[in-house]
Amino acid sequence: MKKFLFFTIATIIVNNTQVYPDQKPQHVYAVFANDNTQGLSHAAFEQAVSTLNKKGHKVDEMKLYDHHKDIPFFQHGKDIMENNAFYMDNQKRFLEADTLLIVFPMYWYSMPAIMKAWIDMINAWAYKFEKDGSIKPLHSVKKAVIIYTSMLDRNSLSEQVNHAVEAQMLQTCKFLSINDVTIHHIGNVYGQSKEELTKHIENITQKL
Amino acid sequence: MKVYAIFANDNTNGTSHKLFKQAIESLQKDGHEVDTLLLYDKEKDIPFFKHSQEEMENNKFYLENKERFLKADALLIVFPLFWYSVPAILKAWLDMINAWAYKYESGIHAKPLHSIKKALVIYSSMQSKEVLAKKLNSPVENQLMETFKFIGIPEIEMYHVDDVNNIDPEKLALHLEQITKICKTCKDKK
Repeated sequence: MKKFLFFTIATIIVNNTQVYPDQKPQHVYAVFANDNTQGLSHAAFEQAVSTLNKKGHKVDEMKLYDHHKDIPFFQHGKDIMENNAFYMDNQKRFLEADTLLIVFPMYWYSMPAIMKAWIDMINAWAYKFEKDGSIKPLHSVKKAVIIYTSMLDRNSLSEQVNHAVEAQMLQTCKFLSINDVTIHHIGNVYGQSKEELTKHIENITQKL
Repeated sequence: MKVYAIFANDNTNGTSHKLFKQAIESLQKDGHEVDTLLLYDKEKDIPFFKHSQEEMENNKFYLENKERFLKADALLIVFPLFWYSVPAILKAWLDMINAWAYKYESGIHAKPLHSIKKALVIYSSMQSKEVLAKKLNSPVENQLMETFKFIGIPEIEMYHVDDVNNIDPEKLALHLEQITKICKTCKDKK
């Protein structure tokens, strides 16, 4: 049983063992990417937001599907992107944040398209290349907490895709100089009881 | 073969479009029927996946794409790597095939409800192969390979053009030549 649980929930922590080691109030941009607001990923999001609020952090919530008709696919023309109201609003909110909370269900071994559209959008204003080829962040985000759910258990994901979505998220954050990244995976979502899943979410949010 | 050819970049002057064009021309020359979809031509119509099938089926692009997908027996997919994965517009296209391309019964892969026998994936990246393959274990390839395996596409071929910002005409010519060769592997094995 212990082994089973090990494979169904996992936390990967890069650089730090705690998300808020100093517990100074953070400005958290909390992004949720699922149209289903009755399921596990939404429960995890709501509980994480509630915990952060209780701890005195300022949380700016963004439920991407509330804006699904307004979210553009990335285009290289900066003018085109800057004419999009959602793009501009999201840019402002991202630049105000010092922490990201990102919650999504895994779709096709990666993130949902709406989440990817959000990530693709940060291309134009979140960083710049220096003359020596290094990356200079143009944002203040220092930490990212990522929670994702999947039908597959951790062992299967490891065997089948070598945790592709975690590599994609970690590398994206790293590129943007967000070095303190914590990834929580809740796997085998249909194979666990409601009580087990509730406990898992509690374990995750207690660490926030 | 009937090839459904998908291109996912708004830039039609860059390397990825040259790769796409070469693949289309090669396939047509070899006698294949190619149905071309430039996703960015439809960017305003492509929906993000929603769980409500009714809602999806009210979308014109969703239905049209489904029909074209179900007519095909091969896929050609060409894209530039965005943030270590496919561009969101291509992910939206992939998310859409959820409801009608397969039937899940048991095991790790599903029963296909389509006729696609081969997928040819060509992608370009700024990063070198060393970084993507050796350091990161090619997450985009793992993602696509498993997606196509899951929906029962038996043959999947990937071709990666790396370091695109430093590509010179000679290197590009070699890649185009290679793409012509890969397209020749598209054969109806019926």
